[in-house]
Amino acid sequence: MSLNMDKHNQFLNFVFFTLLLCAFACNPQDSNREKVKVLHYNQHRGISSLDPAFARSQANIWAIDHLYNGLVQLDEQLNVKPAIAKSWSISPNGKDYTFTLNSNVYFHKNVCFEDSIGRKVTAKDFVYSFNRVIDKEVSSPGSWIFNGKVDSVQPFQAINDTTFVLKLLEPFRPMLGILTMQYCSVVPKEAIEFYGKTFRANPVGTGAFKFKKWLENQSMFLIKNDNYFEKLNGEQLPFLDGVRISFIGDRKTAYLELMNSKLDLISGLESSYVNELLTEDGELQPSQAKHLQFLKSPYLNTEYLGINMEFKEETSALKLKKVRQALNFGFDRAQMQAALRNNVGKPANKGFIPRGLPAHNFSEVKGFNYDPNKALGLLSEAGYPNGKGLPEIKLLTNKDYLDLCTFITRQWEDIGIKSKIELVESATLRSMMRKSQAPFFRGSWIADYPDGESFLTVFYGGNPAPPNYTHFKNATFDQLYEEALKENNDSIRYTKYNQMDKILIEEAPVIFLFYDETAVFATKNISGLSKNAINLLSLKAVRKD
Amino acid sequence: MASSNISLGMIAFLLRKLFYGFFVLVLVIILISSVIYLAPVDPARLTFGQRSDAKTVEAKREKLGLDQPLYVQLGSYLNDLSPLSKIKIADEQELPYEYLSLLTFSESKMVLKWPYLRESFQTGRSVSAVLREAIPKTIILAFSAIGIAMLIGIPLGVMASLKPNSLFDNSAVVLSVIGFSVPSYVSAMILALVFGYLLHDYTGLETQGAIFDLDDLGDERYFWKNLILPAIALGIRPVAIITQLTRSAMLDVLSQDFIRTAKAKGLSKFKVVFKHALRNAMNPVTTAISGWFASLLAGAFFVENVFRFNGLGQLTVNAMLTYDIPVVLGAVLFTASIFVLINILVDVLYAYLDPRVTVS
Repeated sequence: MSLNMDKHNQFLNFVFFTLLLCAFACNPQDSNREKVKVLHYNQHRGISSLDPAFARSQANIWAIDHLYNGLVQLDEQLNVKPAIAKSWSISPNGKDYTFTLNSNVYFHKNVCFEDSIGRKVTAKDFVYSFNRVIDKEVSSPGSWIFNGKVDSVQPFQAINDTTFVLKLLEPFRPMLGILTMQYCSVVPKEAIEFYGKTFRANPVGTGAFKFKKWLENQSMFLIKNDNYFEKLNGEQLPFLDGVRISFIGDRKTAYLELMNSKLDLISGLESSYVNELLTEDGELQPSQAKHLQFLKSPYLNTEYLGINMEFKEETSALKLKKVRQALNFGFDRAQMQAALRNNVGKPANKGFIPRGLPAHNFSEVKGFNYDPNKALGLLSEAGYPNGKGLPEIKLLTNKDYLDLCTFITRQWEDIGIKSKIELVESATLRSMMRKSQAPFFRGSWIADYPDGESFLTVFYGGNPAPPNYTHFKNATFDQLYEEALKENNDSIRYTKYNQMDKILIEEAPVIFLFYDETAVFATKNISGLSKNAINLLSLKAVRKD
Repeated sequence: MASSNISLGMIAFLLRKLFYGFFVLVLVIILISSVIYLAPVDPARLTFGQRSDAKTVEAKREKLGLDQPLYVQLGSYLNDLSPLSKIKIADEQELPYEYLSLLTFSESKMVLKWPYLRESFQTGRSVSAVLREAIPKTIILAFSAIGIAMLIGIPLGVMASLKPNSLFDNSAVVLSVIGFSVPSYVSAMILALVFGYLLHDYTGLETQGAIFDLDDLGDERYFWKNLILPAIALGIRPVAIITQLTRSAMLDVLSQDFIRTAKAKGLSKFKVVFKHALRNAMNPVTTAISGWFASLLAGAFFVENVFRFNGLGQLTVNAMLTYDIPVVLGAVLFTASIFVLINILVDVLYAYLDPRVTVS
């Protein structure tokens, strides 16, 4: 070969290897990682808005909780405790709630304010924020929390800078619990006027963290609010310097990122990695114990199979109460949880209200257990001995719950009940449930606020679908429900809740599956994570070593 | 080389092609809109959470125009898309776009504007803004994939043609066919798992990631290394085509008279192969590549979703899962436009390069 060829070759080689080197060598950020304490977690469903009026999904709720505060908040035992309001009182007639606010709470610094200084929060800000939630122009998905419950003339009042009054139409005991929801966060009028439609991506709150940057569907970064009003044991909160949220939609990938220490925390279980992380009994795998910690706690979420009680079809196997009860007795919940969920989540052997509400004593409520003989007996009584003559049941579910539904329908086959599973896309299924086009469907219900009423409302005859997807109507149930709403004495109220749960068990408009538990996996250097049944990831007291 | 003959016939040809292309786009919009309309899902309801009250959902439906019959919704959307459109004077204040008034009537105006793609149902952001963020990433990915495919395919094809029917030649062809047959999401997943996870410590590459992201301090940065695996995954299939084409084109050219002349003149093998033969062999390869560019967009949808690449592909899939109609329609419209334009370009290129093709 001629000399030209060699030089030509050499040059090309040089260019190629330089480029290759650059691609792999450019990694300056690793050295910065150690100095700042930033918590990385993943939100696989993506965040649609940081506007509290749109705190409709868990992803939005968590992020909004980092950035905003409301009047009150929940502690680990789900008791309502002060946040921006330092104390409150309820009038004897149960309709007026008066809150006294802290006077040391300031909004984050932002260009929307005069001189960019975050000003002090006053009661007027709460009037503005709450009115926003019911404003038709805003179309907040949270308007149901106030609509029909608050006074129609003057629901929200600012008596002075530190006194805020909420007026109800009728007494509603769970109202305080509702006020802990992120829909009830305080927002500054200046921010909404300044940002308009882009307020959803330019949050200005009072929270432990301030907004820094959001690359949609990519990642979000929040930084510490040095001016935050809350302290823990005299120490200023928050402890973290920042929070980074990734939006990796594929949970397997998120799990891999956790293994690579690119993420500090992931939440929830998925079949692809559950056995890598948990033993069959639901404990953390010993091989992971050096690197990870596992936090499990009751989650106010009931998983169920819903029956549309309108029975639009002529022949439905589910019309008879005894058949529905038989279905409930006909499968082994404990085995299901062990085999398919690594014992994360407890069998639903009570009513619709799950575990996790410490104040609620439901020991007297006796639900369903696995009793195939009883199931067969009930089928006989209903006129279908061994399931003979019973029309086939069709169950609608999305792919995430296919394993559960398959398990259940197989066990039903053993008592002679024939059923078929139909896979539907999540969005389509929800739509069908709303339009009463789903005769038998898999559903779940998460508490919006920590009170049993939040679950029983699903069966109140006066409610449409949602939440009453089963279109259940029972006069006794409805009467108890209306009485409970007005009942000031907690123990009497809980007794009524138990009575309502017993009606649900008797009438069986649903097949009770399990009470969920939250599952959070975090690296060992994270401390201060609290377990709470509302599954709220509160980061203000979290430390990273 | 064909002589440059940009005649009137050529221009008429181009205009005709553009006109047909435009019709195709309108048809695509009508077709996709109808399919979405007939789907049993209420996109307005999907913008709410677990609970809502019926009144607010109804108000949202009205706001989004979803309570109208299909032909009204279609007409309204096409009016928004069209640069030349009609607006009601009563609605003038609320319009979210700028326009130039042409004609004014009693209750309406004819205006000139940029196509208005509306706003996302889920986030409320303008679809144009969303597309503007996503499209460049996909274009970079597609170009990189073609680049890699050419970097591998052309040398492979040249070397195969220099030793026809040898072991090297046969292996090259077989390997390239295997690469072509593997679906892009399969190769993407294998690459992600092997190089991004199992060999992560050696390669420094990730199983997922975008090229523009926030770093650990919340500052925006370019992460070009995240382009490597997706581009390879996407480029594997074109490699086969390019290898084969280069090989056959080279074989064709190498057997021609002027090559024998060059060899007889005593030019080095390198000069013969690269300076003379390859240049002539590139014609069919170039036209094939431009045709492939459009197909790469389809492959990009899969690859992007595997690698969480955050381009047009991932955007469209996410929008479809949440029935975010404006985003879906905007993305489909853009993709269809690219296909149409590339096709027109290829047609014109053929006509320009090959004098045997007439443009009557």
